[in-house]
Amino acid sequence: MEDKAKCIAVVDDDDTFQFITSRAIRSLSGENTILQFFSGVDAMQYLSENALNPDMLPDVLLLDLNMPVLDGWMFLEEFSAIKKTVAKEISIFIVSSSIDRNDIDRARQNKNIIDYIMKPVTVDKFKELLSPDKGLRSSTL
Amino acid sequence: MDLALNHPIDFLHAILESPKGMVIFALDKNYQYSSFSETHRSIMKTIWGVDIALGMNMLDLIGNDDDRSKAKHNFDKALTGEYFTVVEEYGDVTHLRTSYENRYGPVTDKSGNIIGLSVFVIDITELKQAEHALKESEKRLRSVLNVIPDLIFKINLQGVYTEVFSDATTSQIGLPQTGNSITEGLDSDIADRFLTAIKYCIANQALQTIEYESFKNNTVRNYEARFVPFNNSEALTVIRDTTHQKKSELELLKLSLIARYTSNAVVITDSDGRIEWVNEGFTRITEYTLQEVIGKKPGEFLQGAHTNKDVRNRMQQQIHNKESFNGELVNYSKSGRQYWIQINGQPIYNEAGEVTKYFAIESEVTQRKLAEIKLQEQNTRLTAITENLTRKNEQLEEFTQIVSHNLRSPIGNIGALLEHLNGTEDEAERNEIINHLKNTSSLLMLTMQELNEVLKIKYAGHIVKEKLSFQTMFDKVRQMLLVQINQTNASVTSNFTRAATLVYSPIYLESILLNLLSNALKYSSPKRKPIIHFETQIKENTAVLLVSDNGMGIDLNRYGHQIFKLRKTFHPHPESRGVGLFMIKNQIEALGGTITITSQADEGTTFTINFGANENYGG
Repeated sequence: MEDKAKCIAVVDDDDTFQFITSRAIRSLSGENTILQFFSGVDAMQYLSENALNPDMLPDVLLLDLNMPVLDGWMFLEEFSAIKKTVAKEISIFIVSSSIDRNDIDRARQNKNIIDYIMKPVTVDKFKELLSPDKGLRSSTL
Repeated sequence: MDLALNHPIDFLHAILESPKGMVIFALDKNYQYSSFSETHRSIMKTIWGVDIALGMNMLDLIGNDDDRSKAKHNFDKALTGEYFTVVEEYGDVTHLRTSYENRYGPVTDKSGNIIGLSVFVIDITELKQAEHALKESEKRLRSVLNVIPDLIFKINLQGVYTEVFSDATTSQIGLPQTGNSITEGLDSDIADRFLTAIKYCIANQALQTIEYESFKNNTVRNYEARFVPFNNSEALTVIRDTTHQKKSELELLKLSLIARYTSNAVVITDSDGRIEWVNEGFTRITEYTLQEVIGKKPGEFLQGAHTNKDVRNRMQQQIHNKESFNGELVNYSKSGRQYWIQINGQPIYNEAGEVTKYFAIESEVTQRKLAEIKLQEQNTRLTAITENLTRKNEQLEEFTQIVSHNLRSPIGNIGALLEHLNGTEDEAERNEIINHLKNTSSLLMLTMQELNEVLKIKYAGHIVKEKLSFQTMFDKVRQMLLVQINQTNASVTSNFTRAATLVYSPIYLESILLNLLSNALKYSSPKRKPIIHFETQIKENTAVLLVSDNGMGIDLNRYGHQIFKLRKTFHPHPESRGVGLFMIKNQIEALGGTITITSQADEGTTFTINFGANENYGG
């Protein structure tokens, strides 16, 4: 498959997960860019600062739920407030280890979320996520 | 006094002249005094104010026209030769009116010609007055007798009414009339009993009573006849209609028959609530015999410590209001057996509408009551179990989350890392992956340890409690955190005077104090000198610990729901692990207490720990 280079933001406080994810994405074909955010606050700050600059904005955002200070849900709340000012359509995926039914249902009801992906995430899963026709719901759930 | 005139003259003269002698005077045909006694002279002076003398016309001396004509009428009548007696009143109309019995008679000469009249006067004023008083008294007595519902008469040995005083119940006994015989109004057998009783009463001069029934107009009525000796031939008899009385006695007899044979306890008390009678059922339940309880109030010896006072007071109020009363309460038997009794009682009224007795049926309901209580207890237990289950369920959910996130996450990482390890030959990369593996595994180990600690709290069967001094415990914790206190230059103060001691788990109290103090130090505001204060209070009999700081605070609207959750941290602090509050909340709740927080972002935080109502504290 012919991949267009993508910019991927990973928002997760777990540095091991960041490490694994970076390696997985790098192993894929294409010149993908990775933006690492270790907290929701950092990610939110970056998006607000670069809202008008599409080149700096990610195509895909992988969001952890369980983070200190600003967790995944709070991040989504704040993001929906600035969404209109953001100059790019960002595909947001929840990537969480939570198997709590409440979290999964809540994610399904949120129209800003493309999909809920349960950790651990395999390399094949990343391939699927970054395929050009992605952006639709997968059969992960 | 015609005879007097035939007596010797000196005798007559003596009578006439005696100062306090009889009133006597004689007049000739022209009403002129021919003689008079000294007493008459003084009376004439008293009444009419005149000094009489022989030859004076008496009619001229009477100062009242009516009296004068009355006197003339009597004088003239005597002058016709008639002897007669008249009771008269003479004197001033307004006062000094006196009653006299005047005996008139003609005075004749030797040949029988009427030459005048004589009047012999007896003052009967006192007699009249006594007679009047007697009449009044009798009238009063009569009216009293008329009100009495009893029939009262005198009867002689032959059974003949000699006098009937009151005939109120006449219609029931026939018509007693003086001179009639009782056999006319009474059945012969009853009349015989009357005669026997009358004879005995008079012979022995003793009160006799007989009771009898009379069947008239298709109804049976009861009577009681009392015979009181009056004299040697008569008895005073009082007959009373006792039908109503008999009827209520019979009712009571019937009730007592029922009461005697029922298996329930039956108590009859007088209007004061003092026992008059109890049945065998009462003795069977209470173990007290009738002899033991007679004259006592049931509440005095049957009730005790577990008797419900509300029910007792309500029943006493019902009795006080003369209403029927009922209730269920605990009683105690003679041997101390505790039992439940259901009481249904009611007042018994007499004809006058007064309460004369109370009648109560009591059934033992111990079995049912115990079953009820057991059911209630089970219900309470079930509710508690349900609550406990709900809490357990919540904790389980929480655990699921902990397991899913805090365990699944590192385990997932390990899997992924191993995958990457297999996919690379580069030594540097392999080392980096192995490093991550090491970190992840030690994080996993730490999480496992924390979970183990939490589990220990949650499932601790028996927690050892001791009497602890807040100050001693706090000083120890302070010492443990001395480095952090000095680093932050915090002012840490305490006041435990209001509740100085607490019976609690020493491990938990240390953990609570340690976590709260280290939290306050960890999240102190860099903008100001940290001020941390620990204080105890007593609220509603419970020891309460207040821990306040002027630190970073927290936006409770935003984070309130997560504050005591595991692995929730709200400040990007390198040492934040999100375990402390979760842990102490579990410890506090395990011992029946609560922990709450109030906080303002950038102003400070206060934690309030209520140690639970069951915990003892000391001043």
